[in-house]
Amino acid sequence: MTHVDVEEMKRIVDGLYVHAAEEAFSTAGMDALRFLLDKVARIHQLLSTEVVSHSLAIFIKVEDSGSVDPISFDAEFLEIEHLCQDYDKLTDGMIELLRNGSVKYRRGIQSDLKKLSQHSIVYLYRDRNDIFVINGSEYHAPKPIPGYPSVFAVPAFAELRKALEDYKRRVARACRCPILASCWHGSSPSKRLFFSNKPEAILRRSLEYFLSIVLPGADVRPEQVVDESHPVDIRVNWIFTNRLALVELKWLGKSKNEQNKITTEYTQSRAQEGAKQLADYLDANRPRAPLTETRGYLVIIDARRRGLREAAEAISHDDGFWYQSQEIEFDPDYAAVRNDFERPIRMFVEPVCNAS
Amino acid sequence: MRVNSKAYFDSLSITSRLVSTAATSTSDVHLFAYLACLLSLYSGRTPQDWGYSFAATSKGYPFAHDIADSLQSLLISGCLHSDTNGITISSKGEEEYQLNGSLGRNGEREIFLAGACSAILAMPLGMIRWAISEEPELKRARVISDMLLLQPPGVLRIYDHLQALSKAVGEESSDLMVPAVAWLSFLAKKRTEETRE
Repeated sequence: MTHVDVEEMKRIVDGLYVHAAEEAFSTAGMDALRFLLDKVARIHQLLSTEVVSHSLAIFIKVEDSGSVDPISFDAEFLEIEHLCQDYDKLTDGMIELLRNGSVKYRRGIQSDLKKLSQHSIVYLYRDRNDIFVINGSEYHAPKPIPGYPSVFAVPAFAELRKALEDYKRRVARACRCPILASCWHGSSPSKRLFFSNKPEAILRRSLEYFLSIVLPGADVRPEQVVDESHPVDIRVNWIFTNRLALVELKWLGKSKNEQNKITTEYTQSRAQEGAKQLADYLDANRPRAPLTETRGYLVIIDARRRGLREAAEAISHDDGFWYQSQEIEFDPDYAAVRNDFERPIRMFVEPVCNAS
Repeated sequence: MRVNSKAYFDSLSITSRLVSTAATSTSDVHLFAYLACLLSLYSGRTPQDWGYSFAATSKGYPFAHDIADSLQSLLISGCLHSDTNGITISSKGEEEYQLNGSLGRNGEREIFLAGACSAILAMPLGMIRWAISEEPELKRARVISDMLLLQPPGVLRIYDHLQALSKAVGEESSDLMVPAVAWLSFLAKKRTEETRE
């Protein structure tokens, strides 16, 4: 059972901007916050907030009649959508939300946000962080997945394929996940040359966590790997449906133990083995679940580096990225000959290379 | 089909409130109805006061037969539409919601439904589902499948959580979005820590 630590819960509450908004401004503050949150999510949907390189402040007065330091705005728009169409790459600016749905915009942050927050609720997007300024204090909203620019920009996928493609680009490529970051040999921050010994469980947990957050309509859970003939790592069940996805995860590259010795090396033949295991498992599973629509997904975490010797502590860019674009050709190509086998997804994890 | 009037109203309210969410599935309606029910316990009500009961599926997700029946009835009557993207409320459904909302007995439920659905403004839907499965009853259901929720003695563990939550939030809080987001944040943190271990 989850232990209830009142002090821990209190620490969470004290750091919550939602609680701060109510404490500072009561019911009017909560109304303003709801309005602001709805628009912040909309702005993240409409804009490429990943490219916001400086700070973007979005605020709403708690009371329409409240006094505000005069801010000179550059433009006013009837709807937030019009602002986003005109400024598709907003950088360093301020947006005031008005209750009638219109917005004001100015380039650059002119105002003292802490002072502004005495009578407004301010959302500040700065360095890919979500910060609320309320009554002079800053509150950070934690990001569940660091690969996304904001907690308000986490998508909800309906399809597993799209979610896996997103994991590949946003999380695996640059290893933007605290769980995934712990699977490497050596001290942190790692250069991502060698996996730690037996990294399978960490890789699985990272993917399981990610899929749980971005596939809200699905039940994602790890599978007990019994033996090589039952290889599936993760099962994804769409809730209240007969759709089931079986995800098999393989890694390529080299792993090391604590004695700094290479323990395992997996080349592309490991991916071939994974494909065959998954195909065999799908065949074996069909009679057991005849009414379930099952698809198999093979995910390959590729950390191969060219010419990596046991004593290596660094790598050149050429050797480190040698396999980046080298797709694996599968024989047989199950994705082409079966209708329950998704095209394998290879996720190349970039190393940290020597400066050239 | 005879539908439970409270579940019927809750289904309308939740689908209307989640209208700006990218895709609302039937499982989301069960999820937010359950969260609203938990908020009613936080406010001192009993599970019986809620008007219908919940069970946990074999996967550990909340499910109410009365919600399922109401959704089916609303789909048949055209108040809800269903397609591959999920379910949406129609203009007829919105009218039905407004009509039912004006009935005094449903007014009080709106406080709990609004509190539960507001959580989606602050955290992604996937995070809410991730968090709620750490709630003591649902967590237990992941091991013991197909169990009734909010029954003694399990409900006592929920009251432990809610009491701690009340102490942390403070009794002056009147907007249920605050305890909803606070509790979900606590549960999400716990489950994420377990996953990382």
